[in-house]
Amino acid sequence: MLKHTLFFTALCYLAFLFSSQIILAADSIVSVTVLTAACADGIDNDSDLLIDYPADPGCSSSLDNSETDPPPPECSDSIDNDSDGNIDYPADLGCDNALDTTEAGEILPTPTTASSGGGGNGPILPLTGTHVIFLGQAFPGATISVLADGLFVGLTKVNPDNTFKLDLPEIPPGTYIFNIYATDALGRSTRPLSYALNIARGLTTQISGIILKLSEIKEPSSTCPLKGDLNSDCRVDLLDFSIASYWWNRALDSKFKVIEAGELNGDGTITLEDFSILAYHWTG
Amino acid sequence: MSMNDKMCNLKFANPKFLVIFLLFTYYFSPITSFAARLYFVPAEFVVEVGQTYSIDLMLDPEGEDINAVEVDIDYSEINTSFINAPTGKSIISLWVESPHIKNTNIYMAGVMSGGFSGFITPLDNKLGPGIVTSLVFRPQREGTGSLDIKLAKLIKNDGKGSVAKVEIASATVSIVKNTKSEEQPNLYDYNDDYPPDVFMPVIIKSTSLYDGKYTLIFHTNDADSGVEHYEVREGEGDFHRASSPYLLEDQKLGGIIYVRAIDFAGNARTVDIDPKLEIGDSGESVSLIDLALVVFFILVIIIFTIWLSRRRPLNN
Repeated sequence: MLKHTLFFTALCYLAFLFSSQIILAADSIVSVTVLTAACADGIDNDSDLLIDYPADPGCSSSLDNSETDPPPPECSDSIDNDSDGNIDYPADLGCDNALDTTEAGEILPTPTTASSGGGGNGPILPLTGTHVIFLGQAFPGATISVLADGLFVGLTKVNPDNTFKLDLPEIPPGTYIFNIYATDALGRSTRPLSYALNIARGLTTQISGIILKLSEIKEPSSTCPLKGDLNSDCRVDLLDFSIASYWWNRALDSKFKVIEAGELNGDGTITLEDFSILAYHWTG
Repeated sequence: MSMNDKMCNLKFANPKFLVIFLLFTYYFSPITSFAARLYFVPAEFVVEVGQTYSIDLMLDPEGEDINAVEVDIDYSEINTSFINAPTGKSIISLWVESPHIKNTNIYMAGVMSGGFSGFITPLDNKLGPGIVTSLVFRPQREGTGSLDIKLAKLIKNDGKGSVAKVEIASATVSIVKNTKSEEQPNLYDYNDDYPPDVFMPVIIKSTSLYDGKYTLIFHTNDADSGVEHYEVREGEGDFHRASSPYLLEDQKLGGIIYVRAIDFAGNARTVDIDPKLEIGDSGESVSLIDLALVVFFILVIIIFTIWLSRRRPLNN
């Protein structure tokens, strides 16, 4: 009997630990996808036994989204391209070598790699650089704003079907905390959603499943932040952070004591807690 | 603990050793943590004398939403000299004090605007830890010691400044004899060929800053190694180290102001700002009024002179 009880107890306990693990290993609500170009995905997309840039001649760079090989040059394509009765090099005198791209004339030997620019004809992803794309839903008439590490980087309007797509092209790669929020027609903003991500150089990172609700408007009666606005410009941004930084480790004067009491935690000094209040009310 | 779990425990028989065992495993199990964690990666490190190496200070929110961090690290036991703290991979958006030596320890304080609840990994969309900073050391002599977090303060992203619970863990560093006579290669490479991002300094005048004097505000990021320091040059002067907010020496805003951000690998980004264009609304408009007044008085004098010169012949 004791053995059974012990076994059952241990089982229950393990179940408890397991359930704790599920809770603690939190999932992100949104889905993050890194779109990899065909010329950098480790797959032989065009079945020519050559994989990715620079091995596959169909790739002009690792950002090229097609491995499809360019057509062979006219001087080695087994076709009489200039209808002079001669085919390819060396029979056609217009060909200076097998890589010559034209059978016509007898000049301008142009290497294929230089003239074609490589690459195939497949759909080109926006992979000219480092991209971040935000996809989601918001309420009608909303304006979507994105901050990267506290600095404003992008803005878009919500579509008639209440979806939005915000593309940040050519953003410098690196580690970011992105904040995204919606503003209604009255200028009232929702609480920002926050996503910490590493953005890889030359790739497109897509964050989808973002939902910004009208019910999450921060302060229904005001378009200005409730706290943290140290210079009274209706924003909490780098200027407010700079003002707080100035008073860090410094005795507050009588004027700023009043501001600190109204906009921060009111303890008469600038501490980490005050910077936390700034970070919470951050508008960028 | 759920009702089911409680029911399970009711079935538990008396043996004390099992109670102790269960309590022990409960509190020390790595998967039952209820506080944010600050720890080092790697937690154990073996390195030769003279071989520069790097350790990362990590923050795992463990379900908490954190927006401010303050850490003080004692490295006196590990027989090394502190080189620097590259912050390029850091989750900190803005540093109140970037990592530096303060009272013989490594001190840092910074914020994450909007909060940090975990680093999203693209493959499984799980939330994981993020790097607060990397710490680069150079071992001086053989021995084993620990890198200890002496102060760890995390503030919740709740708008009230509530302090979050935090668990800390030390790292063990073993420094062994240099096996080769020649200089050892560094284990840390900044791997950074890119300058800091383009940025736009701002000149402001606020009663809360330097008694309302013109002050320069600047900030930028560097993805690879992080911004090591800034330099400012006013007009034809020299560049000198500066931090934001920066009190401008030339309060008349006479010349172009240059701000240079330099990363840990030595790459630099220099931007400039023309104060006359920047100030616009306040400074420039005041100058225009002054100019208009001067022009007005000159005109009055000219008209008065002409009037006088025309009257004299009549008097004569």
